[in-house]
Amino acid sequence: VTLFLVYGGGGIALFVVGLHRLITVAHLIRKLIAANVMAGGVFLLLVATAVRDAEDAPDPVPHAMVLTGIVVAVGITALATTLIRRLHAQTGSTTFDQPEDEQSP
Amino acid sequence: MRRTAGWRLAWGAVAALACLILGLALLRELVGLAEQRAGLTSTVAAALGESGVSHPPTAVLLNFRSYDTWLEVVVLLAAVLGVLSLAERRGLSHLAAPQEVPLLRRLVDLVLPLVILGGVFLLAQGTGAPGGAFQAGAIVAAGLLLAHLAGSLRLDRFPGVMVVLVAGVVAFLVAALATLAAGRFLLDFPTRASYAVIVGIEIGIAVSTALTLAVLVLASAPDADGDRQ
Repeated sequence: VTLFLVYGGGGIALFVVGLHRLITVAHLIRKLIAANVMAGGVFLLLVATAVRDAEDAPDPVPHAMVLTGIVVAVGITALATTLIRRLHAQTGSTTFDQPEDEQSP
Repeated sequence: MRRTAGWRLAWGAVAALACLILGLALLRELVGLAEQRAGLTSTVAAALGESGVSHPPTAVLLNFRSYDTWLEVVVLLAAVLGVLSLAERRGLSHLAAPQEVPLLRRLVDLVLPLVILGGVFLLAQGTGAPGGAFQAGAIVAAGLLLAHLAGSLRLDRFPGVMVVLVAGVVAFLVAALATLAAGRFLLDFPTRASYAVIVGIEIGIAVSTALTLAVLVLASAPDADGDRQ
């Protein structure tokens, strides 16, 4: 049970730290990395819930959900990277803010 | 919208406080969760005999919750289609060009069969032990990437890339239609046929995952000639 709390708490800590980064940084690549850190926290928490007591056999359902989640996270990261590159190619900006005045459009 | 340093600092502090409160609330729930014993371990173990495979996570992924995995494959397909249509150099014919290094090419030619063998091994043992289609696909994808970048296997000249990309989705679709045609629930495989069905779907997923991951990396790579600013 203590080990579950350590891993689960670690997952929650990763999730919260990632969430804070996600809403405070402006650069979109940094936001994407923060979202991935959040995903890592969720995966860690889910895997931890599979073994709440060392004597039980691990629960396969959270394992399967994490496997699915990892693949979806890879797909989202790839698509988001391409979207950000496209935004940068078209506007020269890497944030959702308006381009700065001194920059040419 | 220009943001001043003070505004940023205040926003950061408010966000930190909100995240801290959220984290503490989640921790409180975690402690409550630790005392609960209700999992699905015994439910899965009881139904494992009729799933057709002996590895519990594989049974969950490809039999009990196979619609989940089907949608997962659809997400991968959507991602690769999105990347291919959004990348600056569109389409499969403009994947990042290989570097011609003879020594590298020879080395990759030696390693590639071993990589593929490793992928096939993971796929083959996935029904009874940790492993499976996505893991096999990820390993073969790394091999395909190496081979493409070393110039020994040009993915952009490979015929039928789109067919392979949809193989996983199509394998699931065929299985789903077959179960409906047989008068069963969607993706409710009969116990006798489920091993064959699961292996068939896994082969489709592995092949399309391998190519999907390789294309995702290559299509979002910068131009080799560096003409972008």
